[in-house]
Amino acid sequence: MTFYFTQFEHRRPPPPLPNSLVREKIWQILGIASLALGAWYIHWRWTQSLNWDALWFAVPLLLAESCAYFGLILFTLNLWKVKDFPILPPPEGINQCVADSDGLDRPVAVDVFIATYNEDEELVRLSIRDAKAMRYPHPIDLHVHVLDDGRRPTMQAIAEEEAVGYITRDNNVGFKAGNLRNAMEHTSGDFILICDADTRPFPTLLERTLGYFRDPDVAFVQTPQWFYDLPEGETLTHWMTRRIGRPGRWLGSATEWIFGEIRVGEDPFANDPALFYDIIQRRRNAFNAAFCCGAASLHRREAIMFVALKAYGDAVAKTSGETRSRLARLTRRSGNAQAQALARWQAAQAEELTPYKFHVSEDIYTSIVLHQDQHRRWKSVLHPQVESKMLSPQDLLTWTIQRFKYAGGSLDIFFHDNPVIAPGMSLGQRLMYLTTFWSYLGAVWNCIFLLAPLVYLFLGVAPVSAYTGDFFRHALPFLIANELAFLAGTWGMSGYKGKVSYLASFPISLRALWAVLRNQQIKFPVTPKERQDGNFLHLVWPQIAIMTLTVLGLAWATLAWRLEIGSYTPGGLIANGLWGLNNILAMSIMVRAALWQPEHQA
Amino acid sequence: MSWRDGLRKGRSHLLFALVLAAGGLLVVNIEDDTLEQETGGTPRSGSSPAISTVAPSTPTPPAPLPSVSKLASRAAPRASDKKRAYVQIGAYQSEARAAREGRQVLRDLGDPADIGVRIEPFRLLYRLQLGPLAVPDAAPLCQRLVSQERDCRLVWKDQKTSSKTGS
Repeated sequence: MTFYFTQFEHRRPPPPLPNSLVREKIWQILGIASLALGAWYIHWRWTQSLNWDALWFAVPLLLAESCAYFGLILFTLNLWKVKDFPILPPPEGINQCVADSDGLDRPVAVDVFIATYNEDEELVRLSIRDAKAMRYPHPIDLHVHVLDDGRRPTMQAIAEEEAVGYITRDNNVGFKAGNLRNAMEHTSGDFILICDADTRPFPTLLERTLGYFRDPDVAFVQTPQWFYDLPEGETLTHWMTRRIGRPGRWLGSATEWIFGEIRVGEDPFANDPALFYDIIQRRRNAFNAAFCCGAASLHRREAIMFVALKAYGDAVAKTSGETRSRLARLTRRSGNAQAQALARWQAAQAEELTPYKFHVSEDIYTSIVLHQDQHRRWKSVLHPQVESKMLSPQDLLTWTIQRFKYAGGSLDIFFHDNPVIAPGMSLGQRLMYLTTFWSYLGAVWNCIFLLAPLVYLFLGVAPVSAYTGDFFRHALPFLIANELAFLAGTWGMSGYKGKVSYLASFPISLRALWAVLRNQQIKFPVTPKERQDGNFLHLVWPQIAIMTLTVLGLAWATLAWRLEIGSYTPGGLIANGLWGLNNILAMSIMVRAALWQPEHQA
Repeated sequence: MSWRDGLRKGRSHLLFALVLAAGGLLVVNIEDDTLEQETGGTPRSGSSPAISTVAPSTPTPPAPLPSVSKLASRAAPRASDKKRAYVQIGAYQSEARAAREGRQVLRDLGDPADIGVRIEPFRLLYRLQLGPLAVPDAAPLCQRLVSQERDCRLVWKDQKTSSKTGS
């Protein structure tokens, strides 16, 4: 069977970014300089440049700037240093992976869980075959299981053809987390490799990652997710030649000669997760705060069950306490031993043992529970090398669903079960989780940054009261140092797409925030693995509105300045024009993504 | 990874830094030209701001703003033919601000009976001038104003555009 991605099968993942001590020091120096200049700027903004004549505008913008600056502090801390765990040789037996190995002398047992619901069965077959092809230098007890929540006979037939396990259930309680729990009840491997239907492990996955578990405190290893089907686009020269012929070729070549290769149409949804795994997650190793992202992660069963039982015990204790109080109120007597036992039994019946919490972000939730455990001090590892390949969202609807789940799940944890203030974690771990949550809250201040130039362009009101020279004397050193710092801090990685997609995805995070604040449950829909047909412009109306309003605002402000209406000045127009242009460029990424058609459909 | 490759991948940071620097310089130059037209010199840093600027936060830009105004404090006395000069001590975005500043300056000068405040609108600004004065009286007045750490420029009674004649 031929899929759209068959043509990309030959692609190989990029190696992890090389680490250099010199570069790291340069980044740290620039990072500190940027933060110091930022502190100077923010202090000046609060104390000397607030426009008291327009506080309704000045204060929200300054709050937004301050929140963004706090986010910058957290992000700088996150990226501070690379500290990879040493890759240890694969264990020969399970006795090398546990603290107390008395009587244990057998090969390591690994269960591979391939969770599926409604994906193409032939797609799952590819994942099964790749999972079976994983090699290991020592004897190993490897079992591949298809966890089919779709209860499809065709899927079962394929599992039988491929001689792998098939596990299903008669309901879909807890969605993926419930599916995993059901599979855990039917299996007993020491380690669990979690795969989505489209996760295709490389042969090296186990031999390169099981070595980490020689440390008995390592609970899970997350490997980077790599989308091998991302559109590569075409070079600017080629693109311009196609459109305007020879002049286009000259112009394109000249531009690429100056700036290096530029690809048009590359990764239209800014899906590339390299920045997240190779920079953000990898540098959390230093704080023991890398979190699990589901697919392509390897878990120690003992750790998962350990925290699940602990959480179950806590829940039973809490619920039985409430039941006891209820009984006491009903019977108007304080509880005796019999009543306490009854309450505990009732609570035990009512509570569920959920190794993976039934939550839209079950993976990050599991990481939090593990990191909070004060008795074992479980460790998490981000393995820097890509060990599997998977498919990227192929349309804006799928991308939006995925991002909404990430944002909603994280914000739900932040507001309802916040690990930053709960006991258990180290300061570094708390700050790293706060960095994640803060980035989702960023939609609020991003919204203000998008609207601020519009206020000036339409109303002529400015939030800052200062000489222009004074303003730039404070702002420019900070902003330029910030760009240079992140050039060094993310050396080898293009930060532009990440930055603009963060700015442009503000409606998704705002919607997720709104849902969480209203206590709405974030839904669990399975992210489609195939391209959804249709027009997706309705998904980007906020971005289109921002672009349109900015263009209209620029036109109005220019006209008003020419006619000497209001208080516009050339400097103000240029400055806000550039700011608005930056916003338009960022928004246009999403609008282009809504209109994007893959080559095989275009 | 080679330096060239690293720079190529991180070029967006460099481009942003360049645009910020170039845009900032351009805007400051434009605004400074306006201010210089007004006051005859670049304003001292830390002096009370006459121009408001929009601040951004991420890749950013600024912009000026005027605010509300009305009222000029004390009407300037009728100028006689001999009294053809004024001294300009500042330009403000708000007429009220200029009037307030004018009252303060007069108080600091001991409320001289023969000098008044004139507020002249110019583009988006309001020039604050004292006078009318006979030309020989302008120099000592300017000296007093400068000793109070104020700006002072000589302008003529009917002069509608700013002057760079200095005090």
